[in-house]
Amino acid sequence: MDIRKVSLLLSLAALGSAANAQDACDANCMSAIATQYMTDVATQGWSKLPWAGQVRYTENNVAMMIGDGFWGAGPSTGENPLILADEESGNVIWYGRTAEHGQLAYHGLRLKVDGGRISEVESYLGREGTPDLFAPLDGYVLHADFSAPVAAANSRDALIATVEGYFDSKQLNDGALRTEIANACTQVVNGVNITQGEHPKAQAAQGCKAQLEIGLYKPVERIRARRYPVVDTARGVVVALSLEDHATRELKYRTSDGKEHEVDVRYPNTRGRMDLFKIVDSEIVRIDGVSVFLPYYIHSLWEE
Amino acid sequence: MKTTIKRSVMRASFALLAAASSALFAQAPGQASAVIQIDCDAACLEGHLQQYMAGLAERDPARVAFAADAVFSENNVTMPIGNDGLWGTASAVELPGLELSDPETGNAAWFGLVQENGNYAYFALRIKVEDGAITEAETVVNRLPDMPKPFGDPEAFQHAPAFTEILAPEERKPRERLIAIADSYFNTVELNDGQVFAPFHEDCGRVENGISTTSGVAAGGGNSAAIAAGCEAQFKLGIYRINKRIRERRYPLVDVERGVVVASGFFDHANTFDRYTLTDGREMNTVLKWPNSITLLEAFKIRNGEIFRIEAVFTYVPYFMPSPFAKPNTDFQTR
Repeated sequence: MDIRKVSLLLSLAALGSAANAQDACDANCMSAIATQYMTDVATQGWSKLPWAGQVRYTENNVAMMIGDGFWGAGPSTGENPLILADEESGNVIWYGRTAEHGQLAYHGLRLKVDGGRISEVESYLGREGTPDLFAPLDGYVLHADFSAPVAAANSRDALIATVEGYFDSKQLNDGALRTEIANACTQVVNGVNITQGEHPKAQAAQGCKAQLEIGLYKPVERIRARRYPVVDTARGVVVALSLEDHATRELKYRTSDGKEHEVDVRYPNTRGRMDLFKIVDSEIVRIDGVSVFLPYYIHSLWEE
Repeated sequence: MKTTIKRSVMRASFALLAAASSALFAQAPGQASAVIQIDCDAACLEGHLQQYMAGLAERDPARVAFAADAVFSENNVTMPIGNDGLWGTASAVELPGLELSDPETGNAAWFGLVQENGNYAYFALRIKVEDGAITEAETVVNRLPDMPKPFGDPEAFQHAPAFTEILAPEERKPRERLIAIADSYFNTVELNDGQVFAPFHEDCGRVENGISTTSGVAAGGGNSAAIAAGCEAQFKLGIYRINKRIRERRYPLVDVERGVVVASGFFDHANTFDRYTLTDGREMNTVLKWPNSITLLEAFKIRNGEIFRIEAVFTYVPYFMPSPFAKPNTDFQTR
């Protein structure tokens, strides 16, 4: 029996204990519930999960019944997820790759677990075929940094403030940095590295910091409904949820280096985002996110 | 000639009702008055449409008579009227649009083409006018690039003349029957397995986002007309089986004289399967493998009780997205 199997058995034991006793559900218990959720999705075994008396479910920011949407679309269990649980907030995220009828998708899932029972499910699926970014999944691997501990942990509030500053820098991006970002910071969206390589944004400037410094994200009108359901101080990871509005009043804009750029989608749209921020020594070093193409200005069903 | 109720008569009736205060609570359910109040006739409603489109072309909502508490939505998202959505991007309105109105409900609709930042988009608008001002503006904007969907050549796009033709009295049907026929169309689309609930004219044609999806297309490509020609023939084949439900159906506008119904709703593509078989045995694959919905405004021309022409503007929205104008549907489980 390998280590992973032992770990899973221990986790399932924790799940059973939590579901039966409805006592406090620690990080292991929450992680086990997230694993079990994705396992039961594949078999349509929704009735096996430990549900709270009242459950809210959204998929790409639309409320629906468990069993509809992704649940009904020939889903797979997913592979190689990063699972992060936050005992303080009661949230756990499952972040990885799933498939519908064999077509792969980037998937960010948040569960709220109260006393060992799931009361909230918030799911974001970055799917192939929309105007949003999407990379073939064969070569995509979430960087190991996200699961590695940091040498010196920052406080929860400090980590959130760092990400808030990033969003404040990105919306109406004018070149001013309102947070700390490492020079080598990289960003991946739906598997696409937009800060290095061939992507047009990477060609404009290499790295998260340099892109913000030239105002590459000027077309982002606002980043709203910001939430931070999971903060892992030991790993220096913040999970951020947000809605990013692209008003698209102009098709072209100029960055501070004098170059002209065109917006990537030529009409108003909003991106629903689940982003993982890795923060080391108070600097953002990596960002990896699921992005969903949504109607412009769509309201958050969770919080504004 | 539109039927109108004289405003002076209506006011007199209302005054009598107001005098008997206890009678104010004796209205039909959901009605403010027992008298149908027509404040704005067809010309008035269409004037509001024209004013709206002129204001949109200039990105100037101040040119439009909006009520102070008007509700505006674009692709089912409510937002402020001003500088967001198409109001912040429109660069031209292509005329003529198809203008339709219903003085009895105070609703009017415009179907056609606009440009935003120089790019064409198919556009449908429904307005509701009360007390001389627009209280509701519901819009569907179909743009490119997007997921696979019809998008006709804007330079070649024309509205079917039938929509504005007044029917001979013997060709007309009452309001309730017109709505029932439009609803039967949606019943036919829903779970389309070959059973046809709707009465179709033998020459029925449908234009979606500026392109015919029932005729004139060679084999191949993604247009349904390449599989079968004609409204009824397509439904008898079960081409549209992917529609799990046609949801939040509303019929805000009926024009009995023209035989026109304007409907709103969602087509839910649950994609619980990604392959299906037509009634003639042909195998089909769904274009998209994952759940999605389309939101639409759709006009039906009904002559002699048969659907003759259909014109729709639709676009993709997230699966199961609701309308801000529809009542929540709690009548069904959606698992």
